[in-house]
Amino acid sequence: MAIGPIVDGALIPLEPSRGPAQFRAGSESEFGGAMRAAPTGTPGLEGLEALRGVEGVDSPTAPELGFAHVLESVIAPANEKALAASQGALDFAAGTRDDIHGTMLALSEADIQLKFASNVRNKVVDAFYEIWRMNI
Amino acid sequence: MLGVFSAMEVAASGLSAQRIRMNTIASNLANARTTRTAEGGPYRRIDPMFEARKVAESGFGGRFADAVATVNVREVVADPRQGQLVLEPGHPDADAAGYVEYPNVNVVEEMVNMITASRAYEAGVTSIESIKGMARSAIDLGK
Repeated sequence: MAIGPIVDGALIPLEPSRGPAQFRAGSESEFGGAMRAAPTGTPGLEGLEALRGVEGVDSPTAPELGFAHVLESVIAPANEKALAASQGALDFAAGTRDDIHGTMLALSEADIQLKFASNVRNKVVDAFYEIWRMNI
Repeated sequence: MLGVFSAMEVAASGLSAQRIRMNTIASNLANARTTRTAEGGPYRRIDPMFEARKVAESGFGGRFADAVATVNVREVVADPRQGQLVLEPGHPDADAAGYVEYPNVNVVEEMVNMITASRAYEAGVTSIESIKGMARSAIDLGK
């Protein structure tokens, strides 16, 4: 993304009003387009006019694509699998279930899903700090 | 979807099938000399019949919906072969001529089946290990 030219000063009015949590993840193309449009105008605050009307940049509420939602949508299935796996392990230990491999597979699935979730979490947090540290 | 977990499910169905086969083999070996059953006559050797069952969900845009199948144990059938007749007139289960029919279980045959079942189980476990390894490598892509 061509952020360079607008970074100095251009993003100031965006930050205090809305936290980075409302920043849209996953709208690379729209956002990139807006970012590229900005530097052609004045390098000051007027350059921001090009960002008006872009979804997620303009509206303070973009709930379904926020960081929190990304984390939640990844962690929920991991939690589900972990619960199923621990229930299976309990059932096996109690003797009400007799397939060893099914129990172990449920545990493996939970493990994979949790590793995936923690990786996504790391990525999201990295992205958050990347924006947090952005020069303004 | 035809993803990591469905591959595990397919492999797991193979493990279940081999486990049932192992149960039948154990039953056959345990009853290799059983001359009396609830149905009357000697114990009959049993064998599980496997059938393929298509994975209902389809990934990759549904293009391979009919390709992948899990294995399912359709039924356990009795072997119709005649058992060995041994002349033992004093045996309580001997017929009028003094012959006792022993089960149609061939212990050597069962041992061979046991080896194949246990190797097939190992193969299934190995494929699950690979699937897990692939998933872990894919996750490591994000690091």
